Amino acid sequence: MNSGTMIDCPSCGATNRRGSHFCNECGQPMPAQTSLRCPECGAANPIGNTYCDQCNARLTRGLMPSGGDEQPESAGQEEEAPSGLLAQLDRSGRQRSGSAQAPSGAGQSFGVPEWLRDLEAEAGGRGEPGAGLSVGQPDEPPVAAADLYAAKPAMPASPSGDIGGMADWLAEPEPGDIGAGIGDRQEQFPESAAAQPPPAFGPSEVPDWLLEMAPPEIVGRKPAAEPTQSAAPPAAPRPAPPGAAEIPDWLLDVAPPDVAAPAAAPAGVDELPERRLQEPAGAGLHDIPDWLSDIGADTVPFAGEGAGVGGPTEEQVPEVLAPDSFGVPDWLSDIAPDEVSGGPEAAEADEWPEQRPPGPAAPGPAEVPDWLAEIAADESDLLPELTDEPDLSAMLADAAAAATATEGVGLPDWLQDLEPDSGAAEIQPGEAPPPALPTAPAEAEGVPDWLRAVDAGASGAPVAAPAGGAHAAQVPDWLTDLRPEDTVEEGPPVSAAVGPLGPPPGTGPVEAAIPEWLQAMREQQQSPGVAPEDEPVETTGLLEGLRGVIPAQSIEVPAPLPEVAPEVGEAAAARAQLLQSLLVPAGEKAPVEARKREVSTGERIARWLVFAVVVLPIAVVVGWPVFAGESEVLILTEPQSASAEDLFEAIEGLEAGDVALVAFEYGPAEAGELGVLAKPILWHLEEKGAVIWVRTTRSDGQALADALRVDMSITEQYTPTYGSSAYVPGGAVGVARALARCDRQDPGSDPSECPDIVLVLAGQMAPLQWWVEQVQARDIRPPVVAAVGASVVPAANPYLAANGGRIAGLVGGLAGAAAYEAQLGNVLSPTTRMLNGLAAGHLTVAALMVVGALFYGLTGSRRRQGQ
Amino acid sequence: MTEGGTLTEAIGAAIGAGLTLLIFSYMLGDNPLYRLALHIFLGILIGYSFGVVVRDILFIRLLEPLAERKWEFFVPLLLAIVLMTKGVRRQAYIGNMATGLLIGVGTAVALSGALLGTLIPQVAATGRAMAVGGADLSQLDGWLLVGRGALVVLGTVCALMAFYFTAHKQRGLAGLWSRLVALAGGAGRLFLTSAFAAAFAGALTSALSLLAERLYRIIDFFARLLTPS
Repeated sequence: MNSGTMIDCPSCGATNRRGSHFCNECGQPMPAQTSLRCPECGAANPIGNTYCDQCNARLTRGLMPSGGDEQPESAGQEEEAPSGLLAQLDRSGRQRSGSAQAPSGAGQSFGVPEWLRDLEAEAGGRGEPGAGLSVGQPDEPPVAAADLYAAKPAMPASPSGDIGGMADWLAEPEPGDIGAGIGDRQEQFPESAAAQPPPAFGPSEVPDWLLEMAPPEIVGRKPAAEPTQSAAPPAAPRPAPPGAAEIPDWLLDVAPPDVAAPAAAPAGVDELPERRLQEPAGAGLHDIPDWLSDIGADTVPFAGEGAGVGGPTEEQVPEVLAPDSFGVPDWLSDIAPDEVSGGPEAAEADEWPEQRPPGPAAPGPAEVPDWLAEIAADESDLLPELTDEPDLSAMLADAAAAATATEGVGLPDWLQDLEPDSGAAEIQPGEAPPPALPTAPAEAEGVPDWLRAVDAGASGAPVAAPAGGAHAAQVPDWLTDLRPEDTVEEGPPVSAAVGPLGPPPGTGPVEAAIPEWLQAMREQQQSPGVAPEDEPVETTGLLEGLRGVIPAQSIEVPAPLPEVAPEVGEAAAARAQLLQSLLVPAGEKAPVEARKREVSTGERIARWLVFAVVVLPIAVVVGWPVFAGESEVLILTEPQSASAEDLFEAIEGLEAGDVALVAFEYGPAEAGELGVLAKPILWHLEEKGAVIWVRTTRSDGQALADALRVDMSITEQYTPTYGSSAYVPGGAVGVARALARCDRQDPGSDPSECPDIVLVLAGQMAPLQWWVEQVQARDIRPPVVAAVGASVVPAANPYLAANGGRIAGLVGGLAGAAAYEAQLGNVLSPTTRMLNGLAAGHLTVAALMVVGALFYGLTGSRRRQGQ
Repeated sequence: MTEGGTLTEAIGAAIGAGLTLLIFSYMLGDNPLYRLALHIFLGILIGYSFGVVVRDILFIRLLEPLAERKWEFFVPLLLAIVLMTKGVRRQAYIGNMATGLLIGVGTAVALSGALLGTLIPQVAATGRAMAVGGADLSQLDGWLLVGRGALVVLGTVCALMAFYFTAHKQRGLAGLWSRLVALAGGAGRLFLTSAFAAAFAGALTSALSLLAERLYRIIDFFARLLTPS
């Protein structure tokens, strides 16, 4: 319940502080009007108040149509109690024009249409001027707002048909009827109802809610089952929400007189509330638009079932009928004449209480919305002089034109429908032209009293047209307040049909924009020399469509700093180079040097030249005897070596049956040299009758041994015999295993199985070392002789016994082989030819080295001088 | 080609001569023929080595004893399997034991042989070179013997001094010693350079020997073809 400082949210019921625009719990917009403005004195009262705190005027109004029997009273009531906004305004107009029946509380003057005035006149002629809804008697005790909406099965019937402030017909409106007012009139004036032809008003042009109020014979519907009079107890009225405001009179009987008359007698006044409250079958009361329902359940008298969501359209006319005769919705109350605005209407309003005819105190006029009051105050000069018979339609049209010039925001649909087809009304783009309001016939049947009263009052009381017209009226403040702060600035114009919840469907999304409060937080950095509007628009990402979010900045590449070479002394540079040479591993340099480069033609020629110089002499020397026949061989060197003699002597000392362990420790690449060297030694061993054991630590050693034997059988016509052949892997460990029989400490060893001599045929130094060292590590140390390649001789010389080593004899290279063959007496062996070729090669290489050294020695000095 | 040479021998000789020429083509630069001969040589070598290892080591020295139920040979089999884990980086630590055993045994065998066969004899020989007391200095041979001995000792010491890099300039007696060490190191580098030069000469001689032998083979082959036997 709304209190003085707190108000309840109409959506979720949460308590919010007065003045809040949005609910803190659900976020729904709060009713803009958080207080009721007294129509009498203009003071702000809490919404829950029924009477003004200042002047005790009644704040909320109910809709109570008066029955036919109550015409005089209703007329009186109509005079003394302005039941509807229009009536109130009409009364104000009458007051302005000096009418005695000027109603009170009118803040603005509305022009009553002709058809309405005709109805009023007719009703007035029949003694029921302004017969319509009347609010509770002023003498009646105030009724709590909650009671007004309470479902009361039976309410005390009053002569005027009021039921504790709420008309019976308003309590339980029945479907199928347009309005109680019309029905009442028909009841009251059956003659006129029968005489009057049914209004020619198409159902497509009249809002449904209005059609529901019309008599069945007007709209061609099946009449209600039993139209009940005020005497009949009304059906249980639908409990209206608390704080419902009365439906303006002029709003209820908007239906033109040419509306099809209902088939049956109109429902009694008691049924109007039901008709208005209940959703009729088939036709269906139009749903209360969301903008109306969300404004406040406490103010909106009736949010019908199936209220439409998304706001009303032009076709939808919000259901504004309030079952409660006391409560006037805020939005509707705002439409009421505003006495606070201080216009002439206010002065007129003040006069109303004095001019009020005796009788029940007229209830306070409904509050005129601010937007309407402002327009009326501002555009008062635009409004035509009100005559006794103001032209409501013209006023509406003028006001519409004026409002269009100001803001151009349309009125709600229900208000738009009030305006007759006026060409001056500005239609919002995209909106269908509103249906032309039907003009009431001069003698309309079933004109409700309240409407008649309005019409009667309109004779003297000019009713100013709503500011801005029915279509293009400015947005009321209460509506503006409901609008979110971050409303899109650019977008389709909001029509009158647009509710506070947003644009009507179909308008589509609105381009987003940065709210002002967010823009204020943005850094004031703009691209130099670029106007905000000229800044580029973001095309991708989350900022797509926005401008100036990221200021465009030119990318300036800083100028590189000038490189200043440090001054380094020569000594420091030399130390740096030395350090670099020590730090950089040698392997890192190899890839750079080993980088393959293209061979130029000069290099190719040089290669061919070197090949020819080196190869040709050797080939000539080696091949000369072959082509020249068995001539004397040019022997450049005489093979003679002391070490070869020692080897010869060592083998010569063997006896038949001695074991000679021959270690084949060279590979295929060295087989050309070592094979030549091994042949005479093996032949000598074979000649001595020694048993040759072949041992090798290489996997291909045995193959080389076999190949040597085959070659000897071909070239020497001699095939040596191998006693055994074995592969002993593991390097020194394998050699040690091979010599295991030479250890007397080995339990399985047999000294007789220890070789008598070890001949090592090595192409590398390492295998020779293994054999020499391992033999020295044995208990039985047979003599070790070696036949090595020319490259191993320098490293093997320290191991000679003559030099303190353990090698008894050593021959190396082709020279050693030639020398050994000379020892054997074979001088013209192929080895000698190859040795001559080797000698020729030596001479060639030596000559090249001397020539190159002289060449670079002479030219190098010039190159250094040039540098 | 000798009399009675068979066709297979001739074919073998021809193939050998052809491959030899392909290898010699490297003197003209890297070329596909050289690479062809090289690939053939390496492929045959690796294949034959693999076959020898499998036959002589795996089958004869491991599987046959195991087949004879000599269970002590299960240990080298286990060690061999464990050693193969060295190929997998994550499980390489498993073969550390087998690797340690190999290195340990080999180091032990090599160390004993190096001491007995190289270090001690070489030191003894150097000492004997200094023993010039028995030299007849009245003869040239005596002086050559002494000179040779001194040269050996001097060369040995100086070569060792060449690997002394921590000497730095100092004053006084220490500085004199540093300068002496630097001088000996320089001489040692000369000896080392001479030794390297002799090694280079030997390698060159070996290469030329191989060239001569190969040329002899090729010329003899063609001579036999051209000269009817």
